[in-house]
Amino acid sequence: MTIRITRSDPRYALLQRSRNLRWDGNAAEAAAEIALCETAEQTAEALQRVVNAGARPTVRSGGHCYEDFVVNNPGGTILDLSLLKGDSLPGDGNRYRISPGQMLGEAYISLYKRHGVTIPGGSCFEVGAGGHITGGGYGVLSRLHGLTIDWVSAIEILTVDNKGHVALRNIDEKHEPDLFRACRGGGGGNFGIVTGFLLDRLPVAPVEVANAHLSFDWHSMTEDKFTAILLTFGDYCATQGCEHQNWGLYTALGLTHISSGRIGLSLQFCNLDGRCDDLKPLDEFLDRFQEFGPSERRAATPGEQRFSPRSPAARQQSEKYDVDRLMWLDAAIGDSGSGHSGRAAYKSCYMKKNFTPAEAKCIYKHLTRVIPGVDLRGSVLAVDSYGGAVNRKGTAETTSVWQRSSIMKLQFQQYWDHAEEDAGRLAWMREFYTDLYSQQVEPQYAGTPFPNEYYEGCYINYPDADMLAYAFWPQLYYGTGGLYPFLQQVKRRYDPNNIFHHKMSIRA
Amino acid sequence: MGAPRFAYVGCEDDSLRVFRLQGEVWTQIQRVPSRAPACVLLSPAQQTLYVANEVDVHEGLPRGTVEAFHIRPGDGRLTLLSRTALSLSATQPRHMTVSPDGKLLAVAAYGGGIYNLIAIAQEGSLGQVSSIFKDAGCGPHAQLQASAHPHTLFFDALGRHLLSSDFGSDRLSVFALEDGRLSRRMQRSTGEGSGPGNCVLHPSGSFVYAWHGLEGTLVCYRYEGGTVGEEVERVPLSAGGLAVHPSGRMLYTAEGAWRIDPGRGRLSRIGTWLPGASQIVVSIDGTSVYFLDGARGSIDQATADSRTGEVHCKTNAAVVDKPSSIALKTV
Repeated sequence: MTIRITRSDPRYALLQRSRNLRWDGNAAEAAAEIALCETAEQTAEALQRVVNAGARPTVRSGGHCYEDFVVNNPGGTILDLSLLKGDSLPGDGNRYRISPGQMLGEAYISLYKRHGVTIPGGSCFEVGAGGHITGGGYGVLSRLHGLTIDWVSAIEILTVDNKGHVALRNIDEKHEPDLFRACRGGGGGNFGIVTGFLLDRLPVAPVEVANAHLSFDWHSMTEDKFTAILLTFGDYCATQGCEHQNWGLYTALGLTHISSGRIGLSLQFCNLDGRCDDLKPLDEFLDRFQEFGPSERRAATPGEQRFSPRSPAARQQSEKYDVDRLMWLDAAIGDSGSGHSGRAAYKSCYMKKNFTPAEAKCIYKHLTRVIPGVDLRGSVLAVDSYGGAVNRKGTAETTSVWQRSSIMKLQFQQYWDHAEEDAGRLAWMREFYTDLYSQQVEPQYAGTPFPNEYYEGCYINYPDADMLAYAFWPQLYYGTGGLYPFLQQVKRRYDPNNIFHHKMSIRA
Repeated sequence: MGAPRFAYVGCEDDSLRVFRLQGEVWTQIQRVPSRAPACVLLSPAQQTLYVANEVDVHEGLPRGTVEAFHIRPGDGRLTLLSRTALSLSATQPRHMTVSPDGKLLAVAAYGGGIYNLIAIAQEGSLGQVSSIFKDAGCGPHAQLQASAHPHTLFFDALGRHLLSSDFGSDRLSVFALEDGRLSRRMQRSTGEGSGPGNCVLHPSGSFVYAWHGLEGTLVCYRYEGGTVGEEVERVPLSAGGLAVHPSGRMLYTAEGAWRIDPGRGRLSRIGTWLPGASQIVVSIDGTSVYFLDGARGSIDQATADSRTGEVHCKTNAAVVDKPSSIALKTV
């Protein structure tokens, strides 16, 4: 039976709360009820009740949505699927199952211990599978194995038909293929409520991985050196990083604000066979940065270091560098937290080419900018290596993730604690982003990484409501081809009454 | 309260026009910007004008807006008091109504299939949306009835219930107001593919007249105690505007006038005119009837018998570029 939490329930305050505290505390925007559903049947009943009552349902699995799409639902109901965790196999027994309420860390553990396989996954243990996978499902193993959505074979989803009746649909490439494709990366909260992902096959999980961390001291940084580091990183991603034997190398450059002290460079590596017998690709990557005088001292702030093993790690000397050699599962679940749970803001960009010197200088300018009265610690531009298996041909046509030509994926992040800081921090971030993406785009798209020879827009799982200021925001997330019109068609067919909507949902 | 002194006309050129009325002479005295003013409505005290902006997007989000304008006593000129964003997905608001006590504005968002309630402050300005009802439904017409489309809504005489027609889902609904929130009390199908649009409540509160736009009929339903009951009368009607004379003895439609049997609600046709009026308004004193024809860009005026509602001498009162809605101020 669905657990219904209303405002009079002592649990309401906790369960209504957003992980991003920027969306917390506005009673006028808050949902009237949270419905905790443990099964697909309960979810269907709860959804039908909500629709019949004329309330708006928003859907939450892990609650990590960057924007307020779930939590701000005035008078409505949050359908909380965090207890819908069942991963038992369907009748045929030949598939893997992931439920929307499973945290990614739980999915790693279950899939690995039961079957020795994994999803390419994310990088935070507590992120819920429901939102993560419907938006694409990108993670540390994506260069090696693609996006999680690339592996999904079938989906169980609740939709609301044109008469307002809830229906459970089992969809795959042969059954309602358009809806199936739309749910493979189109983003959460658009078409219905996914109650299960089924996967015919999954990649064998790595046995072990090697993690390494470098950092660069801001105090000895110059614009030229900063530019050279960025171009070196980008050049690797554009050249050696694209070579198949290097797909097991995932790297992340954590470009913090100068006030944070150090810039971080992290990597996780395994050979294509999931072992770490040959660390040459890792060495070759790290070789490139030696001229910049890195420190192998561990970085201390979020963003500087993407992998933070808390399990026993075997310190190992490669030919040249110290690395942490870990059992893969230890590495995957080692960061068992989910990052900061305070106030936060995010933006994103897919890059098809290396940084230009002008871009690097622009980034340097904003990361060294000092604004009186504005504390910019906790600000980081995370540059992740991308591509590899993600860019395999054919995947763009069978999923709704169209960005299949990029070599880097950028995530602008800020974390802070006090509401008084909101205005200054957000203004800095917006100015930074607008300035950076006004150089290499057509004037009418200034301020955005509009798809062109340099950029592939933004990631729908890093939604940024600032982009709604641009009438062309759908093209930022879904491209300039036929994908967005296709998603609109699916929306009209499967959610004709727009029951599922949020600020950036597909417009019918 | 006597004859109208000012007319407020919403126009498709994103403006409101204010006219001073002196007998049959209309003089435009103000033009005020307002996006897609699909519906203009006076507060019960006629001190505030409310406007529904029939738009799809406001500040980048899928929602319409409603505006409140203060009406300056004496010269009738407008000053914007407030603009309120409707709830997410409440797009294309086309109709609204104010509660009899003047404290609540109810809005029907045609595009998004949503009703919003908004509190009205003492001075007439609008607060934030306080209650949302998201409807779902459809009809057999694939293009026009793919989803719910709330068309017209009004409070019943006691202000306890809201009646609405839904063009997209072929139904009339009655909503109750409970603790300031909307909940559906009942719904009545108007028939597959009927497409109910404009509707009005008889002054007695006992009958609802609904134009079934897709079907091309005018249907009278009994209404009692918050329930839409049996069908009383059904006559052919191919075009839109509806109004009932304050006497309760005459129904005006876009095609002609019908005498009403006040006790039984039944209709008998007494006159015809060229169809075209998308909105019909009767002055409170029952001496004038105004016909707004959006396609022709005209507002016609007819004198009426205050006891029987019979009309005479229909003449053109004003020519306005693409008018969409009209409200008349008498005080």
